[in-house]
Amino acid sequence: MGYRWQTRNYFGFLNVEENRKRIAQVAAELIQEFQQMMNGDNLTLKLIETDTSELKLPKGLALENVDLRTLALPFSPEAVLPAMRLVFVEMKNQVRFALTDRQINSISTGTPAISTSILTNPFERCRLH
Amino acid sequence: MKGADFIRQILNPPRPVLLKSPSNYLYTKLSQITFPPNVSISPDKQLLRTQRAAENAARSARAKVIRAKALADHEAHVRGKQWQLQELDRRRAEEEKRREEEDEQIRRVNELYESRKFSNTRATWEFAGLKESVRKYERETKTQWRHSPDTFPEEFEEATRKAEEKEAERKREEEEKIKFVTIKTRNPRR
Repeated sequence: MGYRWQTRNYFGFLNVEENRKRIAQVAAELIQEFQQMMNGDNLTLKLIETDTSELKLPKGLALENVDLRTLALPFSPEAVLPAMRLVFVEMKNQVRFALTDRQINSISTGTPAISTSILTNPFERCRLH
Repeated sequence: MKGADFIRQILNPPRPVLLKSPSNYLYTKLSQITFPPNVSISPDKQLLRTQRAAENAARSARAKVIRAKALADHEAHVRGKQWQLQELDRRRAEEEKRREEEDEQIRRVNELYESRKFSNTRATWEFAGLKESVRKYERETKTQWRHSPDTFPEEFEEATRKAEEKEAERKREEEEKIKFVTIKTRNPRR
């Protein structure tokens, strides 16, 4: 019997309403920080120009301490994966980005063949350093 | 893409498509692949070997079953034969016993007969306590012991009545036969 992650899959995690709120709040805060970082001083000017009337957010979503106008600013696809990584870190590893339990259970920590070769072969070790 | 879209995506991730029959799906997909004409597919020797092995295993299993059935049949046959022989011995012994008993009965009757006190009639046999053997004799030979009016008047009367009935029935049948013959001969003449 191998090691099993004591974490939930993504869908199971999202089925809980509280978790949905948590993840949305974290994502919104993250986006706000991202926009502040990327735009700097220009952010206030951009926020004045943006219109939140066309903003499509999930129903019944209440975000706290977040300026909704930042969510209407463009968010580049390159930033999606790092942002998701940060969101899941904020969830404190209670959820894995695996859609099913089978995917979770098939996650392994390193390949033993490679790790043993690196550890046993001193030259390999030197080359790594 | 906007930040709101990101939130929407992260709250409603695309669900994985689960195929109802994945094996069939794969088979159909693979069978749709057409090879170019210069490609010749050589036989899969490993597959052939496994198939042959499976066939041999099935054949040997079938043979084993047939052999076991044949063995069971043979054993049953032998057992049946043994039973038949036992039964034959048992019947022979019974027959022997019965014959001895009958001989004993006949000996007793003969003793009585020779003492000239009784005639060899049913009454004698009954007196000797052999009523059952008389009935059995009658049953087996399908005959009736000759009754005399002195010893068994009722049975004598019944036997006489039966004989008369039988005679009357015989006569009636003969008459009917004659009628039938005459009618049959007349009809084609007309």
